[in-house]
Amino acid sequence: MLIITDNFPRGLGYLQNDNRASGGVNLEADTYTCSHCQRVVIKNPDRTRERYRCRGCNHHICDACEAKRFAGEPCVTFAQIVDTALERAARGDK
Amino acid sequence: MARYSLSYQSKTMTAVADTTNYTDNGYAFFLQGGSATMQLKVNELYIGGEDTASTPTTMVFARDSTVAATGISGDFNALMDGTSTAPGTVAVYGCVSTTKPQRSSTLHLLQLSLNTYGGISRWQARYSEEITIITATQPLGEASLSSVTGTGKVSGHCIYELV
Repeated sequence: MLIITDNFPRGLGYLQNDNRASGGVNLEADTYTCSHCQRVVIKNPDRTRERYRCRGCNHHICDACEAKRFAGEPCVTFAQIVDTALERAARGDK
Repeated sequence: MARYSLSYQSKTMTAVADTTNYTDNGYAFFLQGGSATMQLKVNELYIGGEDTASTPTTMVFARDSTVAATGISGDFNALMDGTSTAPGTVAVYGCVSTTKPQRSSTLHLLQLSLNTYGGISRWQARYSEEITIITATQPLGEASLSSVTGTGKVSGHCIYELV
């Protein structure tokens, strides 16, 4: 098994925004989904600041979640929130 | 698991602010879990503009802080795999309801602004990074595609999986 250890996201999502018919441009960009809040991040190719990677879940996160992580919040992935919510629902908890 | 396409046709958007009632047929769709234990995964959104003059429209896919209830109708929902058998409980969808959905003021997920004078906007999720809708109540049980500003005319679809 090949384990990739660099920090670049692979197999990204894709966004196309084609406004050529109205005189605009055809924007095509990679996207990734923040593993903490599930916001979709459209990667700005001109960005020079680093893309934040959570060491807890080893996944890229959005700037807002990075600010929370920097402030001391623990890593809680959206998948964990989903699991918790579904378990509560299955138990009939409110 | 069953994959569905939820589509909407030639809808003229009504611009609505966050935490404000949507207008029936004035937004593309809402997609809501069909039960307390249902999980949906959205992996593609497409918007095609159909206006005959320039109409910038700020479309946003966001979670709803008030979910639709009663009198629900509108839009189209179809299984993508012709050989699939629909699950016993399916997702709830539409663009008309008695209790109107309200967009969350914080949980905006995807900004798909476009000029609906022939513009298109399409997003595909990275594998395993689909947007998840769980349960049937706010804050995670419903998401919707609607206009924040602009009144463009659009058609499009949302491909999702019922897990």
